[in-house]
Amino acid sequence: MLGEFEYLLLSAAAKLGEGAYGAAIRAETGKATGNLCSIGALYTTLDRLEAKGLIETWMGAATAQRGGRPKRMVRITGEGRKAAAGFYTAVMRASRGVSWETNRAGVTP
Amino acid sequence: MSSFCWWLAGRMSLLLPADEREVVRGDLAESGESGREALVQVLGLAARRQVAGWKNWRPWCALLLATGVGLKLVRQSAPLIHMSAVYAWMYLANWRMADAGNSGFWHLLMRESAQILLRGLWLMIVSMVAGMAIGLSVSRRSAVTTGAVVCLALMVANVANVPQDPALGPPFARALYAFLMLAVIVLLPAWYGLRLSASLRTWFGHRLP
Repeated sequence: MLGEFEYLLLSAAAKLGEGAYGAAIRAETGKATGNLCSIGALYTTLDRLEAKGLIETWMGAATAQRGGRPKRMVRITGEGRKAAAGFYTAVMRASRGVSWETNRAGVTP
Repeated sequence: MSSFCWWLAGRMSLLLPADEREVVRGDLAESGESGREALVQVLGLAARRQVAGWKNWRPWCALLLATGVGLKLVRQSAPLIHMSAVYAWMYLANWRMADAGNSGFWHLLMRESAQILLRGLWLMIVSMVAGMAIGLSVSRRSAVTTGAVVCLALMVANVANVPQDPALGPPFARALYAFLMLAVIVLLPAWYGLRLSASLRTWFGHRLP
């Protein structure tokens, strides 16, 4: 079972597709949660996801915007997609009928 | 202040592995963080990496062993520090030109110097081997922390080795002498051993832990 932060990173990486790398994933999760996560949390979690075989990472090209420094590119594996889908289904199932789910703005109970 | 924080963040990023360091510096440059924030981010990641390195028994075992061996070396170096301080005082502070023509003077000087040098050399070799053994038994990152912690512990333990005789000089000079001797006999050779273990690691192609 994934942790919620692991799920957030997988979702951000899936959304970014080919353009998924450290800083972009951090910005994407920041947009979703309203808070930028720390770089320490980001990279230790990416390491953990890679160790579990849920993502692959490699060194990408350097850009001038980054002062000529490389990016750590991220790609979700098939296992990663399966794990994220499983987590999403579990959260949706667990949330069915609870007050914050039924009282969501724009959703009629 | 901000440029100083950026400079400090750059220095602190040296605690990270080379490839990760470049990626993190790039991420910080891209996200436009302030110097203070960049420093906090780098320190946070370095701390997490350190903690991760201490999650198994190996570094703890190495720390315990290094502290034990180090304290033994500090105790072993005590008579040497004291003896060398006495002879240094005897020959440097009480030097008389008339002694230069005395063969007994030179004989004693050679004998005592050789004894001090040989003892010192032996302790240096033991310290270097101990440093190398620690460096090879733990990861590079844990070895640096272990080395720093043990160095600090030995410096504190070395307070007992400061020569007490007021005739040997003012208290500050005696303390400085004891710490310089410890650095030369134990700390620097152990640090060299630690560095040598890093080269051996590279030579063996990172097959060591």
